[in-house]
Amino acid sequence: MSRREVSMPHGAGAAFIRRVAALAIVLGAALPIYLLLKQAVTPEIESFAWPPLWLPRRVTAAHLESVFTVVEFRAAIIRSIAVALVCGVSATVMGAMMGYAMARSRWGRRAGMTAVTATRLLPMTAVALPLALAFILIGLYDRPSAIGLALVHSALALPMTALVLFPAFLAIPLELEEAAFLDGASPLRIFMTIDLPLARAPLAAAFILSFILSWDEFGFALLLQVTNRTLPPLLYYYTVFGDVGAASALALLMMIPAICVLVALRTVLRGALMAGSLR
Amino acid sequence: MPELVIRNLWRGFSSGGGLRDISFEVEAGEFFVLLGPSGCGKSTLLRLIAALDPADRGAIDIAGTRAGHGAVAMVFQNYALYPHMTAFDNIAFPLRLMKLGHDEIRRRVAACARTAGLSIDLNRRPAELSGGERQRVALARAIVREPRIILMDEPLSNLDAQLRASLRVELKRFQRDTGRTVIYVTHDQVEALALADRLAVMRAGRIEQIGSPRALYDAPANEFVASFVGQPPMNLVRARIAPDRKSLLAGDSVLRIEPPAGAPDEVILGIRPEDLSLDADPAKVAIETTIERAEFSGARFLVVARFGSAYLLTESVEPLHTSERRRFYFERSRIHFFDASSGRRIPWADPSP
Repeated sequence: MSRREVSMPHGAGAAFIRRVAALAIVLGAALPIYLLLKQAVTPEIESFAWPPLWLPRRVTAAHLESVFTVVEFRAAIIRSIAVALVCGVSATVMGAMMGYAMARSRWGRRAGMTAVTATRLLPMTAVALPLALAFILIGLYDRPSAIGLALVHSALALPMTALVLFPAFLAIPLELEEAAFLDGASPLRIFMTIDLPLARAPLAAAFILSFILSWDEFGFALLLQVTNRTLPPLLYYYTVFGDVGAASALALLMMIPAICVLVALRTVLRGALMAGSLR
Repeated sequence: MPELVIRNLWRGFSSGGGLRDISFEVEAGEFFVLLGPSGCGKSTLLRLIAALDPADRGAIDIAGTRAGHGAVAMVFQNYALYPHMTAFDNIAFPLRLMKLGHDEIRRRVAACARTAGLSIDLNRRPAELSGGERQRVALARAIVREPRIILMDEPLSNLDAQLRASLRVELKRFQRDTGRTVIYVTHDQVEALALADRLAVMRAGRIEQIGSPRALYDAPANEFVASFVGQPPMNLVRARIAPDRKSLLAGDSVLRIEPPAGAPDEVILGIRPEDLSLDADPAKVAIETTIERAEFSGARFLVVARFGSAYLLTESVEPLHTSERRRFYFERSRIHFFDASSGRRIPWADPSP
């Protein structure tokens, strides 16, 4: 009797309650997205209406259009994509090398782990100002190409990609490398033809994660790209200075990669699990 | 001229184990087996020959050249096939590294696949192949570069018993057809005896004995080789030599066997299970035993008989019953003597036929 009391409530009534609770959670998560969508497609006057309007009265495409026509927006979109791509590629390439060193040498593992944790110890704000100064001195500050910011994002993403790829390389049996060595392959060749292809799924995951990290990054972007902005600071400015419609449209646009990643990551991660049996 | 010469090879591990002063030679075209229990250093030795690990001391000469890649290929215990490549690409991998032409690669892969007994679609990946097929792909990859020596690290141990027996036959044929020198590591003495031209029995980082399967079987150099080579294993019984040196005291019995000259007082008698017979023969030595157990094993019964405090293993055609008193007979010349303290073989003064 007492045992039954501590277990999960069950029966038809309990199932109903559970379903309602689940629905409430989903609605709670979906509501802000819905409001964003509504603000993006309705005139601003409706966004500030009191009492709030839950359903749009009038629909306009002006905000969404502005995202693609206003030069500042267009430039920011292209800049953000470029920075995120550079960050994704360079952090994945460097992370692969670092993760491989960590997987294959004891010294590499110790050095890598120390480096990863040590960078986590530093508050980013403490680094930001000296970094901005240094960038001004060497001419990387607020460049239209945002190459300086891309470098910073790569450095931010590197510990993460290394940590994602280290166990992936660790899971590749050493025997495969030894076989390739006896087949006459050089160490670089072994890395390129055996390890990298076998770590394909984790490499994709590392790329996606570092792309998103850069895409969302706000602090350094705000400080280092004061005029040639990327999307997060631009969105911030539009929110602060009151263009809610345009800001909402921009925010919607920024969600697209996140949604793509969510879908892509699921298939990639499933693939990574399937590839687990390397024998 | 020997294909492989190993001289005074040492390799230490901080965890213990390793290799201690290994020296031997392997002739070209020979099937050479390294046999020993796990942890005896046989795989370590193979890795040194493959140049996967460095030796602490000593030299490995392969047909006059230093050890290193090029001269040797290896078949791994888990085959170590590249999972992301097709069977064809696996076999072609060494050739691509040699930067051979497309047609040349195609021709040589096909030839090696045939030699290895592969009759499958080579566009399949290792995950889609059976254990035996993977084994053959690994063999084909090993010979495709035409190495002087092929190293094999327990290549049959991952297969089920039936497949193992048939692949063993095939492996031997494969070696004869290709004429390659093979160095083969195993802990399975049945496999070793069946495959080897010569074998080295290893224990604790040392080579205990090298010779043909027949030589090792007939004249094991010490107690360890005697117990390790042969299935069921040789019976080993402690015995004292009687003061008159005309007979032996073993268990509670006196055996009318004159020990070889130079034998110490304490010896170990070795007798192979198949040399024990139930047929009475006055010319042979008789021992009185109590049957402990008789296990049915098909054509014969595997018999455990108690002799003094020792147990003897043998086989019999007739069923025997527990606690039955039976007498076993054996020829004097079939007895092996070992020094009880060092375990070393004590040869008969005049080698009996």
